[in-house]
Amino acid sequence: MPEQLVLLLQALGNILFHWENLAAVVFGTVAGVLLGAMPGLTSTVGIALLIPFSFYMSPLAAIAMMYGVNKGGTYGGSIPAILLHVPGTPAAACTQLDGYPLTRQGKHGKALQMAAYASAIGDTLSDIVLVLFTVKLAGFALKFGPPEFFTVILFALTIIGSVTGRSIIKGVFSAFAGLLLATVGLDPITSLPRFDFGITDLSAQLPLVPILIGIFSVSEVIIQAEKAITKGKSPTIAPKSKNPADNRVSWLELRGCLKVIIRSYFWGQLIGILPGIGAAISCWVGYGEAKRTSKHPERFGKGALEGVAASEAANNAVCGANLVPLLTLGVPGSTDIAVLMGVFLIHGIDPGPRIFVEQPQLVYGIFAAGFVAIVIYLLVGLLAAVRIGKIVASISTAVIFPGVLVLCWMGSYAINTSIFDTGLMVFFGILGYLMRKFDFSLPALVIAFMLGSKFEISLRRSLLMSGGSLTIFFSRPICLFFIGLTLASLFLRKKWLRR
Amino acid sequence: MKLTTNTKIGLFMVVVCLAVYFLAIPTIPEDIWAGSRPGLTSKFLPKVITVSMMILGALLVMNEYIPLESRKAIEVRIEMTRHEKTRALVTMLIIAGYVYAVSLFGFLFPTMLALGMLMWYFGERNWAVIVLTSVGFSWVLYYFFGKIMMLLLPRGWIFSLLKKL
Repeated sequence: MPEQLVLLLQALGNILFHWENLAAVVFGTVAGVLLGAMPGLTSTVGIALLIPFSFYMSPLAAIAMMYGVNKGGTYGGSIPAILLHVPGTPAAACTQLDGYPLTRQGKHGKALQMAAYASAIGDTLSDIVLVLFTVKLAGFALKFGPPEFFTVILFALTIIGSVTGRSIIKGVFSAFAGLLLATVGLDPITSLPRFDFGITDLSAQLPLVPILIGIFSVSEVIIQAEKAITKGKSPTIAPKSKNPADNRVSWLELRGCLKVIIRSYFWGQLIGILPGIGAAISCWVGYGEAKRTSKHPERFGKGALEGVAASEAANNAVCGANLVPLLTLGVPGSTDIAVLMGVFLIHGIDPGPRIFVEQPQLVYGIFAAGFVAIVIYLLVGLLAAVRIGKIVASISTAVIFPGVLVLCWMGSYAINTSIFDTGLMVFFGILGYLMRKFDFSLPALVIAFMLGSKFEISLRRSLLMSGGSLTIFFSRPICLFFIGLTLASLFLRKKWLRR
Repeated sequence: MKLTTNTKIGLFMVVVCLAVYFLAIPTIPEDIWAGSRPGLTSKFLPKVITVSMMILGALLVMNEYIPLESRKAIEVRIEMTRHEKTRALVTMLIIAGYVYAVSLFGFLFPTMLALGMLMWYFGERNWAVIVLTSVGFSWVLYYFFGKIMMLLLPRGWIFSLLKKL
């Protein structure tokens, strides 16, 4: 424990006293808040768009910036949800239920402050757990061999495929499609070419960045283009109450909500550790639990401060928790973290348990960046949330989304300076759009693609170890545990989602 | 037999998987282990994945007759008007056209044009905003990536050809 604390303090110094790192976290977090506040631009899109800028940064600065976008973006979604009744991100869908009624009562200052406090508390607790337990979990995961990794990835892909959409069939199909795409290029064991059809650009593995940008960002541009934008009056924010007490959170109110915040944090933490579920569901679970256990459930939906606190604590608690499977097992837990994993890979870092042995400074740097990002978005939330809301209300999507497209092109091109990659971006943009329309799972496709190579290597190495016998997966306790979890996740899925 | 959206998607998935299985997988070269150690060849995983996907496609078709999943839950409801479909299609064409135009004419001019076109298509009608934003943003990106970060932006093969001539 003291060693962890020393490493964390050193990393904090490395973030705060190196201008490049500090600027990256500040920029990333503020950009995340702004992007999260912009309906249609989630933090996933934000991270994907910032990828070209990260090429020119050190690995720590680049990852810290993206982690800041993730945290800031998750919080930022609450601002338009409270002020304009439009959630900036799906994770803030629940915040509007009580946030907007508070705004209509002239208490938007109170709602915004509570959202900032609850997000920061939930996020901080989640980060503390991340720091305390990931090292131990990673130490345990270091003992895993290829059969264990295969069953872990199988479990992750099954759960991602089965819970990220309405249909298990389509979700699992998306995961298989991702795995199939990952087989394009050289075979990782024999180095024989597969599915390259004589095209040089396909002889290596399919490039990750154009796929990420196409699937998440270009498809969003097409979705936004569907609606003809008619110039009308910008949405306005209801006037604030003249009573100063209505525009700030008192200590008594914060203390009154602490129980709800901690309970919601717990749900966010739990959901965040499981791959594939994410902040969009944790906010509903946190909110539902807060309403169920409240002495006054009838107040929910009419401007209950606890409602805002529950939703925000639950969704931001996911941010830190999402890093647990990535850093301990190399499995991204959400789309944001999948894109973040892409940034690790671009910088030549393979996330997983070995990262704690090989690059402890980087890992603790990311932890420290997380704490700094929380302080930054708390300050932004307390000082500038209303101003951000006004900017969001006045800004035209007609200017934003074409700009996003050009940044998409730049991001896809810059990684290999390849025109072919930009064509891939268009292909995956259209594919992503069609998948969204037909209810297929984008996270399942992308995460399976990213894990595909590890999945194949661990499977084939396991079979090499056993001489081709599948019994190797049923003779080791950890493998059996994860196979059990895989089957349970499929059978319990319906009941779980209903809850 | 009533063809619902899900049935069509399922059939499409099966056809694509059959094509991959019978046309694409045979193009993978045989490795030295083929035949001697089952399960370890380069074709092994693509085959397993393709067959699994085919089964899932068939399950999606079957679901319409023998419900495995709640039909209501997986029902695809694309509530799009013809106008919205056209807009999505036109946007795809503009994006594809832009990417192709960059390979022909380089980064700067197609970017300005595409930005302007898309802004207009997205509903912006103020010409000053369209011109200033498309020219300004393209130049900022060109200058930042091309001049400061020294990224080799495409010049376009038409311009390269003209220069050679």
